[in-house]
Amino acid sequence: MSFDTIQGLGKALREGRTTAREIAGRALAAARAEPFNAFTAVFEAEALAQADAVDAAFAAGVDLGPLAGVPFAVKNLFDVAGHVTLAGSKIRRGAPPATADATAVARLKAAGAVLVGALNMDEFAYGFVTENAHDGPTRNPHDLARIAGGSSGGSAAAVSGGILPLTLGSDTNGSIRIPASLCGVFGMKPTLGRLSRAGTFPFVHSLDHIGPFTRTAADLAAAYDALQGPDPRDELSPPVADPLSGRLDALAERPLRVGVLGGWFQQGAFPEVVEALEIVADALQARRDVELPGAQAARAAAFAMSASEGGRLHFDDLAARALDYDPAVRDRLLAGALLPDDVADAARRYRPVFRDAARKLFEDFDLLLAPVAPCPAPPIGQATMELAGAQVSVRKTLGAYTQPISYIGLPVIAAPVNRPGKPPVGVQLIAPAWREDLAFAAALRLERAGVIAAHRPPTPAREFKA
Amino acid sequence: MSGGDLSAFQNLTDAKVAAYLDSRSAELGLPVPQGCRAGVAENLALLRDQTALFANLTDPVSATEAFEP
Repeated sequence: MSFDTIQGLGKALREGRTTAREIAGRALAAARAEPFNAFTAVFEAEALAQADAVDAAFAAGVDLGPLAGVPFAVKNLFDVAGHVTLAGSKIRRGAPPATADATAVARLKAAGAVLVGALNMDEFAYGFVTENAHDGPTRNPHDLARIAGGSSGGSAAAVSGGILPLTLGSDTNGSIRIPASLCGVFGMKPTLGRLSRAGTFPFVHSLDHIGPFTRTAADLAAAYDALQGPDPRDELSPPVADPLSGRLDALAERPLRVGVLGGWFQQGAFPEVVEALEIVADALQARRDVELPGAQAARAAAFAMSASEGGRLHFDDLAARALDYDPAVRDRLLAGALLPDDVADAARRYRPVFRDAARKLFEDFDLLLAPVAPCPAPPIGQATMELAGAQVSVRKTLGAYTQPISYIGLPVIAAPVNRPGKPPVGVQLIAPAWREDLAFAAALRLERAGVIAAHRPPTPAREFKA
Repeated sequence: MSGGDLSAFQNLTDAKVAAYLDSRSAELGLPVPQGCRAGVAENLALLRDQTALFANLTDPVSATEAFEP
């Protein structure tokens, strides 16, 4: 495991201390030998060819930019030309290979990044645990007996475990933020529509986002910049790029009015989650107990919308071959497909109501804080957990604090709180729509102050008590 | 109950969820394998409870707008 950063690799390449081929070779070896079950495919020949092209460009005096020679991998719902897009399923194993890369994959490759593989996930992105019935569970690098979170669990584990400095995931209800939090790395969910989703297998079209995982805030900005830009293939019409990497120092100094979301966003939170939130709140001199009215209803609406849209998307396969689905996903999709039509309509109608409540809060704040998940990573195989005195499903509950935010498409950085030797816990840095710069401002300031940091997992991985 | 009957769905008792599952499944032509029935019914009951939290907060006859964040 190398625990490289994008910035570190770029420096080493430009100083001639390594080559893209050497970096790719190291990443491929680590991907083949990793103990987390993060990878579902390794693209050796293609990766080495891409790396050679980067080295050739450098030799010709062409610098492809900050991602040149950086190895990355993607959740296996991103199209990769020549490979079947599994989306974590058995059903799609017989699908034809993708004929083109997803826009996000193509953009990272065009920036010189080297694709080394595809990553494990909850089937069809419907879950928060990455305990995939077909590919097995992804293990948390900080404690192999615990889940990595999901649905982008492989993406978080690959970065947390030091295999890669950059991965991509998707987030419909929390599927980037939750694994980032449980694995102790940075994850970003942009504003809905900011980054193109073209060429990704959908879960809930109205709520789907894509975004990067990294080990530092500056690396997150580099990846975010490379992923931005208009794309006619995405009906949400992503806007013109607004790069951040050239102004990180200025962003880190920007004054911020910060509020800590209370009420629903802390209900049932484990003590260590509240403790981690307080560390960040103190560092940003945040006002406490800010109420975002309607959060529980928003979470419920996102929950129902996901079931309904997901069920409709899978209707034909559910009718023809329901037993080929992961059982934990199948029953949820079937129930969603059976919902009355009006449930999803009602869930959509509540969206602008809740959005306007959030907009009102942002008249007084630049940034809102909330925990990512109610707890650190639960053990693999644990079906239920206690939340606010009740036994609830782990698979359905880890997103209680993330779902209201993605329901209205706000940009969030999930930031790992610096708690050395303790289980990873993340905090949501929530910005107004289209103001990713404010989430980055907070992340950079907190990172430079040592308040947030992606720690290396213990070697060998140890058990922690949560 | 028709597929569009929101209030009837919200008012389902636990004892009536299985009957709803059967009638809706037949209406849509979506068979639910026997081994999945309990899990699907449990999820329907959960969705009924969640729906109750938001369904009555907006005007049901108002148009659904194209959402902007």
